[in-house]
Amino acid sequence: MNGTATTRPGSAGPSPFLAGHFRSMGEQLDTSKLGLWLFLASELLFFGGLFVAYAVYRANHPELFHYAHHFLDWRMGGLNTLVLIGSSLTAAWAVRSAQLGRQGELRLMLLATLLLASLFLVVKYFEYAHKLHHGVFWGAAYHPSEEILASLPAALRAAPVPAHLGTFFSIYFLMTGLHGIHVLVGMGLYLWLIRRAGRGHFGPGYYVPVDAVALYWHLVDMIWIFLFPLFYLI
Amino acid sequence: MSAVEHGAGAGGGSYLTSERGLRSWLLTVDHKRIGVMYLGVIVGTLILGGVFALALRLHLWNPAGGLVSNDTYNKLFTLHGAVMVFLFVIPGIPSALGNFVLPLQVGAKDVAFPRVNLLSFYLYLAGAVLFLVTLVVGGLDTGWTLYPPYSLEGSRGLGILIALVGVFLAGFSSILTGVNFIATIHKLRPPDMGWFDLPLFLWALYATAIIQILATPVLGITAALGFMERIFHLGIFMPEYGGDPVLFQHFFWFYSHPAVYIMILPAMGIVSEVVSVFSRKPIFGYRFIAMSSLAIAVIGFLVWGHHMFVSGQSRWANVIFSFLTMLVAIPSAIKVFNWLATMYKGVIILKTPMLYVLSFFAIFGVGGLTGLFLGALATDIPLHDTYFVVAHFHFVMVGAVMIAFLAGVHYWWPKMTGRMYDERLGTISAVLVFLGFNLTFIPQFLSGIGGMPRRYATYAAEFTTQNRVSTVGAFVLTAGLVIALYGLLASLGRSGRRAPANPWGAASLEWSAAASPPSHHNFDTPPRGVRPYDFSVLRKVSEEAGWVNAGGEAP
Amino acid sequence: MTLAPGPLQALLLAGPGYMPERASSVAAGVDHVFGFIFWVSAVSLALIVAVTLVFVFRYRARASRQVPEASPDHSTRLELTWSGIPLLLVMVMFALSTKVYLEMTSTPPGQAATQVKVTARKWSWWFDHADGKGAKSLHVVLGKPVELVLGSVDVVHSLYVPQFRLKQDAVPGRYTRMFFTPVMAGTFPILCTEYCGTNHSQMLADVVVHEDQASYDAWAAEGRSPALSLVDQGRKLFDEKGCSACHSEDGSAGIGPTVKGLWGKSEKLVGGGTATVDENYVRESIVAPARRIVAGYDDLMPPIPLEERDMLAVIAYLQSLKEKP
Repeated sequence: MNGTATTRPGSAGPSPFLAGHFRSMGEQLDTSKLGLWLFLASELLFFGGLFVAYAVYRANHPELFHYAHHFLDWRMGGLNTLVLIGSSLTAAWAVRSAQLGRQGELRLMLLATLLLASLFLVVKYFEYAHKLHHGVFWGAAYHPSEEILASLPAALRAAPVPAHLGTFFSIYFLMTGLHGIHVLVGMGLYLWLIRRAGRGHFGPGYYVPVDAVALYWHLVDMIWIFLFPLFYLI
Repeated sequence: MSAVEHGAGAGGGSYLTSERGLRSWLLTVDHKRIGVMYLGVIVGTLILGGVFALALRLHLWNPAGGLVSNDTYNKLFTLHGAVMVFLFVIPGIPSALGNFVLPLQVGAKDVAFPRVNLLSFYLYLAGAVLFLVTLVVGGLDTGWTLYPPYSLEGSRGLGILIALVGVFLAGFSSILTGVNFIATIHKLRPPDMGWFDLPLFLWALYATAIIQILATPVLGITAALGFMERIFHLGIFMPEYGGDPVLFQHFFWFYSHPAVYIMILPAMGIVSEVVSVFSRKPIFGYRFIAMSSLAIAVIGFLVWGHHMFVSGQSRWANVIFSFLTMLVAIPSAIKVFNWLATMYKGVIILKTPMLYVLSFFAIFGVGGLTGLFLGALATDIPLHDTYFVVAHFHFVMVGAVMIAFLAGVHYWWPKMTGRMYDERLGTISAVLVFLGFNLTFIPQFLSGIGGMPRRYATYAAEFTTQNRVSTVGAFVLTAGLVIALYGLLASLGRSGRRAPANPWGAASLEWSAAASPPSHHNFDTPPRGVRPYDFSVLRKVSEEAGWVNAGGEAP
Repeated sequence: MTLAPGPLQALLLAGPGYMPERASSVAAGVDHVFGFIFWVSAVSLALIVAVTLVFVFRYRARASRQVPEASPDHSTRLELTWSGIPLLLVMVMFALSTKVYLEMTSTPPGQAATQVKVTARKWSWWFDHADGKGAKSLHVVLGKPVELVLGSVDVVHSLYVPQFRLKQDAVPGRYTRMFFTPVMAGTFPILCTEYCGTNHSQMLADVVVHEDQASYDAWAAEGRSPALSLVDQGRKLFDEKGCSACHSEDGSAGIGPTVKGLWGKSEKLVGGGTATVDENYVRESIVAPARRIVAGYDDLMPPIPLEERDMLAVIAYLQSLKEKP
């Protein structure tokens, strides 16, 4: 069934991972990448809906956003941005390691990506916990504590509180939460890759999964790079 | 011994018999088996949606209603719409017929991602099951459009939450199918099959897949937002928490308008195939038809606001949406003229698929033309949310899409099953469906013009005759559909006639290079590209043996 | 571009003849646009059907016709032509329709419109007229432009008058507008055309077009006449505010508890506890109905804003229905 499988130089014989309906490994690689790009397009539209909701609410209620973004700590957000960018670097590096057949380096880079992703979620946990502890919930459940209100800048404390502040936090938790779910899924994928790398599945003749998951991870990173300024900085 | 005489591929049975047992079906990654499973479930959803329709049409026999309570009536039309739209019309042709035919037409052994294909099927099935579950937890009475605030009020019950999850899952299925189809068409063609050598059904599926990938995620996020709004009172759609109900309408229609092109484009693809084969002539204006499919897909993303002309949207937004809506009519008109030109000087074979396609021309003509009344602002204002709209969308969704689906099922039935359906029963069903359909929906145009709103459990007495005629028509239509189903299923019995590999004399690869039914791997040797509408290379052996390639080679 | 009707043109423009009467200033314009689209469509459809039938008959497969004659498989000139002509026709439709639409959605220049506030709720309409008179029908004067300001207290509704050819959604959380000038005296139905639940098809009202200002003024003056007792005023309000749609006055079951014999009763509540039906409970049930609901009923009643004297009238009416000892 493998028929005319072609392989890249440096590997020994047709890869056992060549699927029966493809004519060659090259075809399988190209097709898998195309498939993933198409799926990423759908992810863009999925998040896009939320970005549109953000834009609509910001346009109609700018006072809400100016007031509420002070509840977010830009240093923690900034740290998370660096963490994710770093993890994209290690993810791309892992692809290169697989292409070059450097198994040890591959496993190291996959692990690093996983750890950085975990760090992102840990920082996120602290952010969320702080807010929820002080009653900063979404929508109608928004009931901020005295302490957190006292921590706002003086100018803001004196200004009237905009109505329906909970809507800002609804959008915040929705977008960062959905992003966080995608980070979690990505971590699961990297765990799977680490397992397979440990068994020596990847090499110059076959590295499609490493490449594909890295592409997904870059999208997750890119979405955060938009979220960070939109929520934390402006 | 050749495939011309038996239905099976030379030496070793077909995809139907290559493996046996329930597990081999439930865990299959063979696109043909997946297509057949989809077909079974999809016919089931058509029946379910149809039962709801008959119930509500019976209730509408009398102006004061009375068959069921208002609440029950509201649940009937909601579930009729939701089941038909999400579970039958949107996935019908791509999932049931596209899955089966696409790899065969493109000369491949399977789709690009067979396991993802199976996942698509189970996601769809899960969505379908969830809609059934809503019936059990008290039903859903929001209309298939699920508009808040009504749909997300606290007193609405669990049905809406379950339905939103069902919509999300069915949508995910659609996205993955779209990814699979585009990747397959791009990458798995034979080296000598260029873009303009593709059968037009593949162009149609390609354009459809673009919409599936880009529009469906917006439905997904809308369903997720609605779900979260109901539970967490986010303040995104419900005014009492600071939200905007019209924002939901924008999100919803941004998907649901392109969705109607997911419905119609594959149907038009089937029409292109059938009209060519049954006129024995290459399709007229191949490139215009291919390009118009893409044009419809693109422009279709820009017109969603025409569902919201009276929602409180600004006048100038309305004018822009109206302009773009009038434009999107043109590519569809071009196709109709090209199809008719295909029949010019051809040899018209009046078999069942062609009968359905001929009725498609008239019915899609009405459906498309009545869309003009709704795209034009002055006439949309009085006609919006009346029975005129109901008639319009049934003409395009049922009259066009369902009829094309029936044409496609009959056309590809010999390939899928290795049997020939009974032509007499097919003819009777086509005639009854055409008559019943028109009897059901033409009176509804008149009701709408007269001012009868939609989703009305009771109505003004002046509309009684029109409603009664419509109800009678619904039963005639049902009779036609039952006969069609019977005719198809009867061919599977012991007395069913076996089909040759190429009973219609079509030139595309699924007919000229694969057996009826195909073997597990589709082709014994990798096929080369063909000109899909060049019938001169085929000659007819006999009615029983079908057509063969002029060189005498049988698939 | 206007289409001046002579008898033949009037026939041609009549379309399928199922149109309601033309009771607003824009109805004729709408019908003309409808007529244009209708005839273009009818001719197009006739062409499509005729060509189909002719081709099927002439070219049907038979003994003498087994192979098609040679013919081109495309013709760019022909395809551009049959793209261009429909494009032109739909652009004309668009232009005609947009012109009428702009008239439909504004007050004629140089005229001042009378403003009426419309409140939609499940499942009734309320109209607060410019002079302060509130009613469950809309009253206007022949020939005088009107601006409706629509709002909703619960879900999206839509106000539709077929004879006016006009429709506008009423959306909670915002106000929308609808403009019209009535050109025919009489009473015309108002229908709800945005699905809103159980009694959506029974959410009906009327628009009364008075012949002249005097007739309107006479109507506006009646109603809150001091000759009516407080109880009678309350009975009237009970009907006009839509209470009777859900609460029967004769003891029969409905969406809400019957008011016959209700006064003074001790009612079990949803979630436990009891309440005595007195002035405070009635007031609370009208302005914040979700707070204490009688057991066995659903949370379906929207808040009904009432002025103080109207509140007293309704209370007086309910008191009059209490069980005689």
